[in-house]
Amino acid sequence: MAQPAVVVAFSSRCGTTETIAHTAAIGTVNARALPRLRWLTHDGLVVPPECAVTFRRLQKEYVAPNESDIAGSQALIIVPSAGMTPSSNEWQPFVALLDRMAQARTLAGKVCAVIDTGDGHTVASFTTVLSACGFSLIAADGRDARAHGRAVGLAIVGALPHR
Amino acid sequence: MITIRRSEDRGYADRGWLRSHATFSFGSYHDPNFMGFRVLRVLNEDRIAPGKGFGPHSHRDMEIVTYMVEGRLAHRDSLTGPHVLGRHELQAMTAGDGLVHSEFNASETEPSHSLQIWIDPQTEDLTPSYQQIAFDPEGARGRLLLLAAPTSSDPARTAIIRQDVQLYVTEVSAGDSVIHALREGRHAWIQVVRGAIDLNGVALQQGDGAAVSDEREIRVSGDGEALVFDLP
Repeated sequence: MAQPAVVVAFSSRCGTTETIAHTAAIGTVNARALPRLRWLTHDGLVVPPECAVTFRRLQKEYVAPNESDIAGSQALIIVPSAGMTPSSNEWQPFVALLDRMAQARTLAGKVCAVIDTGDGHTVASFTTVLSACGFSLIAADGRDARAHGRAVGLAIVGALPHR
Repeated sequence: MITIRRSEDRGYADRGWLRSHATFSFGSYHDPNFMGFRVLRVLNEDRIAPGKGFGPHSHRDMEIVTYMVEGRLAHRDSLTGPHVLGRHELQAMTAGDGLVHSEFNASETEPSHSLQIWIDPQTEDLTPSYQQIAFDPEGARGRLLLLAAPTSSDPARTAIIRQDVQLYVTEVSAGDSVIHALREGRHAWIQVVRGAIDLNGVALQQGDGAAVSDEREIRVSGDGEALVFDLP
């Protein structure tokens, strides 16, 4: 049986949120799930000069999430940088994709989590959108990204039949 | 008994930026007759185009060893780093209960050529770790140089593997004969990195591998470079 997969989608311009996304991904590995790290960016983003090297590395190392990533995974972990919302430039196209998939009922049965990167409003805004898409949300107690990722992994590994 | 795994019989994948030969089943290459040897699970020979590489991905419960043949690899992981791995260097990672890492050709102009080796750990859920050693190739000329083992008195020279495996490198040339005794119940895998060698009278070329069982010793001669795994 294939290892259950989790898309870990994050936005990052300077690498800080990338590190949190990696921590959440490791939590899913702890639970024996397979994370697929995906980076969200947008043409025309203003990147601080001190982050230019990191931003170029992010462009080189990652691809953006697509519909088949989501369809082929049992869970989605959202890691938005603090201050972002579902309508932020990085996130808006991805949220629109999720909305289309929800309308096509291809998100049924999938679980989701929003990692807290330091802004409660960001978490709340994404949680509202994802709930509306039909995901089963896994909330966290505190801001431990690894524990949150592990909880998501356990939810899908434990849900597999024949285990 | 020596069983040869010829270079041209290995699995091969060409992704454009990556040309990879798989000694054992890996990814989309699957041969039930070549699922590994003893605790050796993966032995891939990778050639990565300049500036290209493997984006961040995860591993669990595996000892991962990378040996550079040519060029340099830029490595980032969730433990330490970043690191750059070059010729006459070896990287050993314990994936343990989980890590994330990426590997890219560190050069924008030159290809990289490396061997990546996966070994089953003795136990699951180990604490992840990263080691990188550099070695003097003179120490491998005409003899075996220990690169990795379960214990190390000098971690800067011998990396620690969480499995009962000793990994050696040797570089032989005309007149050299390197002998390694195999203890009762031990096995060996020999992988030719460069050139051509003679293993107990069997000719091996670059990319060839050989599984050794029920032999008292292995004898390596010829003109080339080889990795020798002493396995449980």
